[in-house]
Amino acid sequence: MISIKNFFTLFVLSLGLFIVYKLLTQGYLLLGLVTTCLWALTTIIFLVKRAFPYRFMYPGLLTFFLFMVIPILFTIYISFTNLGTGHLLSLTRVEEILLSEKHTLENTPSYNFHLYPQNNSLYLIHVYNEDEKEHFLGQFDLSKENKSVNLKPMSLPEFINAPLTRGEVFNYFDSLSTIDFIIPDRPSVKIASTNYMASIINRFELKGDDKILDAVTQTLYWPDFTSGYYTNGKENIAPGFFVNVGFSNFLKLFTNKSMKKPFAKVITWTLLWSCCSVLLTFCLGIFLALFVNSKHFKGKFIYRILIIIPYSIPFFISVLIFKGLYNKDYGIINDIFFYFFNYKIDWLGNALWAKVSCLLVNLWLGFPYMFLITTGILQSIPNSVYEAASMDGAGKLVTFRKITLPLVMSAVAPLLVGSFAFNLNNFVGIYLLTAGGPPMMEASTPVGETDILISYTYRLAFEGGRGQDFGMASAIALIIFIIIAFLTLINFKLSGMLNDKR
Amino acid sequence: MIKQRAAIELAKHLILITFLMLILFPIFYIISISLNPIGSIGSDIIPPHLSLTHWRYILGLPYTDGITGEIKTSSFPMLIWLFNSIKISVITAFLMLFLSTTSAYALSRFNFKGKKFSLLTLMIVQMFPNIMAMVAFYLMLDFIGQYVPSLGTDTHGGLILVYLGMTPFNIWLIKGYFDTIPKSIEESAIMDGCTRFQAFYKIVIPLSTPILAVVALLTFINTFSDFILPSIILKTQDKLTFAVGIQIFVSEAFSNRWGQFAAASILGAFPISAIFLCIHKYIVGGLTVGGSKG
Repeated sequence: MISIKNFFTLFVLSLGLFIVYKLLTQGYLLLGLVTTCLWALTTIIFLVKRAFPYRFMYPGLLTFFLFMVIPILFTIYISFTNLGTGHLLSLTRVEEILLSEKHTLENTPSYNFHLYPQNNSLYLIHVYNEDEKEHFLGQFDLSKENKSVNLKPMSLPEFINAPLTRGEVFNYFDSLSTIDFIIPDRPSVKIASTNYMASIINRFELKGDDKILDAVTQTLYWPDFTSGYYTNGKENIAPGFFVNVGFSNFLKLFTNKSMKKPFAKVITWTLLWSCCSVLLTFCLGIFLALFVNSKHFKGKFIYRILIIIPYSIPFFISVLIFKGLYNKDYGIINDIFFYFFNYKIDWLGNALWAKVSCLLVNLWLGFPYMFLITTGILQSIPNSVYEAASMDGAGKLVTFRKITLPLVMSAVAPLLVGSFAFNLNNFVGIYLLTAGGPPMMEASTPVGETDILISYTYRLAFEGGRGQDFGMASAIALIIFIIIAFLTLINFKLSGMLNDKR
Repeated sequence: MIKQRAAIELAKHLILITFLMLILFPIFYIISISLNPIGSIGSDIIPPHLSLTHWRYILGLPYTDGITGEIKTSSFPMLIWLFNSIKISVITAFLMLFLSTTSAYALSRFNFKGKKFSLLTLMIVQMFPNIMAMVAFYLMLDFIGQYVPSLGTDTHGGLILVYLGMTPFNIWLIKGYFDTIPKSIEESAIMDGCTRFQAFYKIVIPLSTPILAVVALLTFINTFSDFILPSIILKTQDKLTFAVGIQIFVSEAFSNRWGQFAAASILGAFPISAIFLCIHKYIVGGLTVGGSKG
């Protein structure tokens, strides 16, 4: 007997098999292979008794795998392709689309038609010239699959019942449009619209394994795996398909004239932005922590809560608020500036000031985090250490430099690296404030002076205008990956996680 | 001596209060703007008189237009956006809890091949924020959507699916807590005839309610605050999350919608802020593992 549990298992496993099959037949080779492995793993875990612990592990690790590991692998794969506007489909899909493309022959007679329902699913078709001089009649059964229907010429027939309306014809259009209507001594015709027939042929036909022949111009096209188009050497047919382009995306970033400079600027600013953000927030954070946590200071609790308020507000809201405050003409910051200095700064429109604005906002957003963690660390330093120091006659400054700072730094170092990694990808902090702007003049891609790597990725992939370039966007994402991987390594060294037996 | 100390203390308080006033100024300002009947971007700090026009606007109630004096209702579904955000965040939080608790239990209690490797992988991968794979997410959901429309792009299901990949951080957090619960309690329960699974959800889960609450609330906050993934995945106006909706709303006409935006941002920020302040003590512990608020 099949229990519900087994039935469920069976269902999940067959669903997996279906997905694997679909992926492999659609030309997603890498994705398909990964899914196959995953499917095999699932089968083992659910059918083998000894794999019991893995069943507990399974749900969490599965989603982790599907929506973290696979996307990462997929990103790496995309970065080596030209996937993007004009190259969104696989070769198989493009071939399918081209082979189903229709062409209406010129200089051939065209006709109008009416359909008259007969008994059951039988239909009578009345085909006539536009000037109604010629009439043809044919009959077919719509419930069967019709390849061709013969039409016979006759004088104007009379019909008892009314013909189908164009709307009704439309409902059957899919099955009607495949039928060849054969008229004696004339080219055969197909139904082209709900009242119009013409000689329609398939534009392309398959020649050999992968070449296609244009039936109209009789030229042969073959898939070019460097450009991602069907080509005859001179012309390409749209749509293109995505192909593996090797390191071309990366090479473009580092050598192409109009990309090299903006990219260098973006990467420099990204690193500068992360460094400055960490440094500024940490300095302010630790300063405040020392200030509030000194002994005998009343109201610590209230101050602590008030200080972390900026951090508790969702970042996207605070950043949008600041965008309003920074407004050049009406923003309150410029109002105050104008009052004191009689001058208005173009906070978000000038390259340098835009960067300063981003950093200031990020300081506001981030210092409470540093305050929180340093407070935690300061509280964990036992009082006896300080007592011993003061017994030995150390002054306040010496105590801070020789005891507090080293202790805090060793505990906080991995967190600083983590914060650096976070700011590297702090999309909201940049994009919602400046949208990457002001734009860089010399660039051929949408990129601005305050764009960091992650916002550049976003703009390349999802900000219309100049089309979507998924390949290039993924290449940049991969560069971020490498930087983060490097940081992770540093972090592990700092925290001794690799030697740690957990 | 005592006098001098008191003076220093007072000076310190004054410095801190000035600093806090500076820091919290944007918040006071935004509250004032939300109650200002004019509420354009150049409004004064102190409103001429208080008015609830902007609040009526964002709550979808009829309001009086400040310029023409007509009575209208807003055409922007702010409350739907807020509801979408809450719905997505709550579902994500619960699913996340289920996914990471079971995994954390296995990692904490069982010995099996690949355990060390799993722990290390989780540790490493949680450093990589998932937004780096945004292109892949978009294409994957587009692909899934062809077969399961309710999990494709422009669906809440698809968005939730993407969030469920972020289990590693939570698994680490919960595993750490499980490690502190003595094994002997479960072992004796199993001796008495409990199955492993029963021991898990009847004993271990109730004992770890605090950490589970923190993980759920943290996931809720992070999902609610996320901007980039919903902005990529969701397209239809009625399906947007609060973050994306409010950004589009205010970016279209910054100076004219400043007052409405102020009211909306308070509405969105207040609950999140309140939750955060309540659990911030627990979060610090978690943050020191993860390094950042996601």
